[in-house]
Amino acid sequence: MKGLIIKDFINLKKSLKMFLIISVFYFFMAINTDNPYFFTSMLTVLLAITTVSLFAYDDMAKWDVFALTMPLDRRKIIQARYLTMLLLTLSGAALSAVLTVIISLYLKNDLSAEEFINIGYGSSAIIVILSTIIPFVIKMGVERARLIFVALYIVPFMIIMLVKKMVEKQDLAIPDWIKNLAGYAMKNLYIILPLTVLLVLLVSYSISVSIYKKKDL
Amino acid sequence: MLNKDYKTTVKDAIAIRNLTKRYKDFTLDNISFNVPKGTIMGFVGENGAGKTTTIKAILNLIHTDAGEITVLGYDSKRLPPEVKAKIGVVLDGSNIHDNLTARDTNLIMKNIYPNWDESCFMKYLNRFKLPEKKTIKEFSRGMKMKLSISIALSHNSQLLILDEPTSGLDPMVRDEILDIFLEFIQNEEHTILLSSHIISDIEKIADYVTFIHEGRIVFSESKDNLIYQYGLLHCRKEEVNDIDKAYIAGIRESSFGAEVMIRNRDEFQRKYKGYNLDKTSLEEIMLFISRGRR
Repeated sequence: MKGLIIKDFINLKKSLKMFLIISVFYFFMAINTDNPYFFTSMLTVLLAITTVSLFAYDDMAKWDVFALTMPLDRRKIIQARYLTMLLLTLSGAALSAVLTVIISLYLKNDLSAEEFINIGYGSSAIIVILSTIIPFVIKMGVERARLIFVALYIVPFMIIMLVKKMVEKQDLAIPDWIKNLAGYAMKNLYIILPLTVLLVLLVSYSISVSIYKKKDL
Repeated sequence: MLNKDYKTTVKDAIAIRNLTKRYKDFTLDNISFNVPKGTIMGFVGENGAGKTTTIKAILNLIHTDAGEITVLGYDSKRLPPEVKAKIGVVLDGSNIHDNLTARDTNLIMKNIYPNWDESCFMKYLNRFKLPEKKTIKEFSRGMKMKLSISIALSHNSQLLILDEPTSGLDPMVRDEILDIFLEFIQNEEHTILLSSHIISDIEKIADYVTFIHEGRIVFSESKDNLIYQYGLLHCRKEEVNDIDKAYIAGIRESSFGAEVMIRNRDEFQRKYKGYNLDKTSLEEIMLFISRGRR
């Protein structure tokens, strides 16, 4: 399985170089803006999202057919891909954190824990997003899954915006229980968030394995 | 149909019984054949006859509708990893990412195959004159094939499963590759299943030949037996009607007369004393069966 992860990282070599260049570029942008930490978690997201390209690379090379003739089973192949995804997210988070520190040192700002918590939120969000999209990618390939991706994220977003607008327009009051629940969730986010991420990750992984086991290659 | 009742024994590196796989427009229909250990089995048939589907079923890459396959004595659906590690596979294409190099491939395989033999792999790269640092994108088709074969041979494989390893290659490269296979088979424990539509390659190296046509096995036989069992009859068109249809594998007619491919040659000659049969070749037998009239 280590071999599969090595394969993924070698395939990303070129993109990873690009990320270092983007980081340097970003550093100079950041020190010239009012809100230098605003985009730090964006780096994590950008790096993590390359996981999807890995599926495209494997498809292009028809790698999976070959990999399954090796001493690997289908579960191992999915495991390796999820591990690569987590490794990419972690490296993205680490890169963002380092950049945050460098920027604050350079600007002689005081570092607050909030910057790092934000990186944590960004990483959690991208893991959840990738966990929802990966089973679709395995089922229908990268190209078609892209449409699902759009539908999954843009459509609910638009519905929420619409509801929000309607609520504002008609001056409806948000019921207290929703407010209370939201307040409670926000207070305990440090525990709810990791648990949610873990749960989503596990569910996504088992769905992916069962889809992949049924697939004819 | 010959060989429907093969007994599965451990003497066979691969044993397929009653394998069926249905697609919308194609069916692999109840096929059975064995690949005896220590031999080269040529698996022939035109494009689309079912060769790749069969190979994918052997490798458990597709789900089958019926039938059983054993590979090196194990159910193909439940091959232990250490047994899989002893199987070298070459598929139609290199199946390795374009932006990797031969050296990257070595690093990856070293971390996948517990029995990876790095020095052996380097030896093959040298022998095939494959550059270590060039990306596979820059490789010719022949070079890609040679890389795949180097991988297949570098983890102490006992069984090679090769899907069209010589197609699209020039005769010199094909010959070089076939020589490697003949070297591999010197060890009695080693076995090769080689699919190809290039019959001359099969004629050159195979001990056994399995012929698949439209999803069915037409014959699975030792090559020498096969050439001995068939014979070509030249006769007048009217004479064809006098021959028992059971002996006819295929008929080709021209303005000069008819050519009939006769099976069960000995029996035929005992029954029809007046006819002389000519020797034939693997290629002719297959052409008569797949293209001739019956």
